[in-house]
Amino acid sequence: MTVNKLSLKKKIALKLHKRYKKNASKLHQLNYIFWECTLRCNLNCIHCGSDCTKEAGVKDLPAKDFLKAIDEIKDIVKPNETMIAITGGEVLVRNDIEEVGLELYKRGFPWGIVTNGMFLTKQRFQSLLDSGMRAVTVSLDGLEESHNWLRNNKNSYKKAISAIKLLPSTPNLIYDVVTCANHRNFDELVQLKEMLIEMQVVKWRIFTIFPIGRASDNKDLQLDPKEFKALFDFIKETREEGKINLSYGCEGFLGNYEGEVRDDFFFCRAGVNIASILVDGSISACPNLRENFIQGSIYKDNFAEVWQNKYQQHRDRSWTKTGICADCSSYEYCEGNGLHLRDENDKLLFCHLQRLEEGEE
Amino acid sequence: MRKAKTNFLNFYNFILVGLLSALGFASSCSKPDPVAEYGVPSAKFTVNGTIQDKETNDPIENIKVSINQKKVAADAQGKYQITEDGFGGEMTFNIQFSDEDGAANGEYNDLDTTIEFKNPHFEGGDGNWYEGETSKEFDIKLTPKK
Repeated sequence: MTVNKLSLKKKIALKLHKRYKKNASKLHQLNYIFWECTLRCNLNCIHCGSDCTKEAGVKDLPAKDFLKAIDEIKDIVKPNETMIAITGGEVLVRNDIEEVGLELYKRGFPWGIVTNGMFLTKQRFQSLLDSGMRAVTVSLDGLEESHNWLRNNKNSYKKAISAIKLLPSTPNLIYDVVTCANHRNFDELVQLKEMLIEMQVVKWRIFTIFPIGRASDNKDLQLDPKEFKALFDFIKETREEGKINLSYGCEGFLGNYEGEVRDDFFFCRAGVNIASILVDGSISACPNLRENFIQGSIYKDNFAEVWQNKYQQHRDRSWTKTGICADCSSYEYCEGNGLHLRDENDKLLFCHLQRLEEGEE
Repeated sequence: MRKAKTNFLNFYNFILVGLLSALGFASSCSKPDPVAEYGVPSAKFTVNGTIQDKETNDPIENIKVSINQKKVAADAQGKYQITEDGFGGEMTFNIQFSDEDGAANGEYNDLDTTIEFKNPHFEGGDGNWYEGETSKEFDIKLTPKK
């Protein structure tokens, strides 16, 4: 598939979607909240830190402080339409997730976790379900050798597989498996797909690791341009097969691959629909945005007031039209890529479209 | 004014979603928003039932039934149907039955209660995050005011 040759139909659809995004930004209905509940982790993954700074020794955010912030937004959200995704660090190093989850459930919020699966035993899983958990995302980064390499732990693959096996047979649970595609596991993706299908996994998402921080120094963590483009052909073909619902992560405008490799056109909803409470009580959009995108603190500000009155840089992206975006013909659809790909000086760190074009040469 | 603007933008986006669907990009603005990084499963929950007088079993017309911001009125046979969007799994809704027409059709005490969708069976999902629709019968008897 060629990257830049968009059909008239797709161009019209993208124009309509552009208007839709503008309206959604004006509405800015909060309906997705990340809670970065801890930075502690039971693994030491080699790609971790490529997209964030995680200092050791940061205390977990107390549950009562998080719940107080959630109570502040009750008048501006519909709880049953507002997902709370608990993330980390590794969520399951905390022993009070069930306690918090039950409180969220009582308030009417659906909630879920993102986990590496190391601590997701059958007993813990049941305990989480009993507390109202409705969604789980488990990371699996390749076949055994590749996964253990990236996760830097010889038991991590077996643990992740055990965790994934718990999911398909659980009624009413929404789940998916996420994979960070990289140079080492790229050739295994077909095998990985077949394995997941055999395990009756129905949803699978692939991310790519962008080349900053530790990832910029480790060539194995990145896909070269040809692999990068081939990845999207693989996702498109897998979706056409219809055996597993595979999609690419939420970042990056992908040119002609828009509408082919994800359920949605690209739309960075950070600060438009998505907020996060970080481990130190900071109020941000997605947890992997830099510090310059923090909008307040639950210890100083009212969460609802912050959501209603701040986030201007998230809702009006015109400031992103600089650098390589300044004269990009796709800017109107992309609006400067995901905000997590902007550094402390607001500079864009990675352009998906550019990398796809390089892969086509 | 602010509410009118919100309603207009929501309606505008509803039209845009319709146009995108017509172009074959049905889920490109999945409702309810958003399909964010980890997805938001959603479903439609419909409650059907009949409202009767607790003492006579006669149907009661024009009792207002509400869930969240949605509100409908029972017909002359006391029948009602109300649909609300929710999370695509088990859901519990608060549901209110209120007599708002005074002496017309008799006077009844209001009733606030809950309805639980346990192990719901959804139909018509899109195979992605929209799970489809489910419904439940929920008959109610209201007590006449003395």
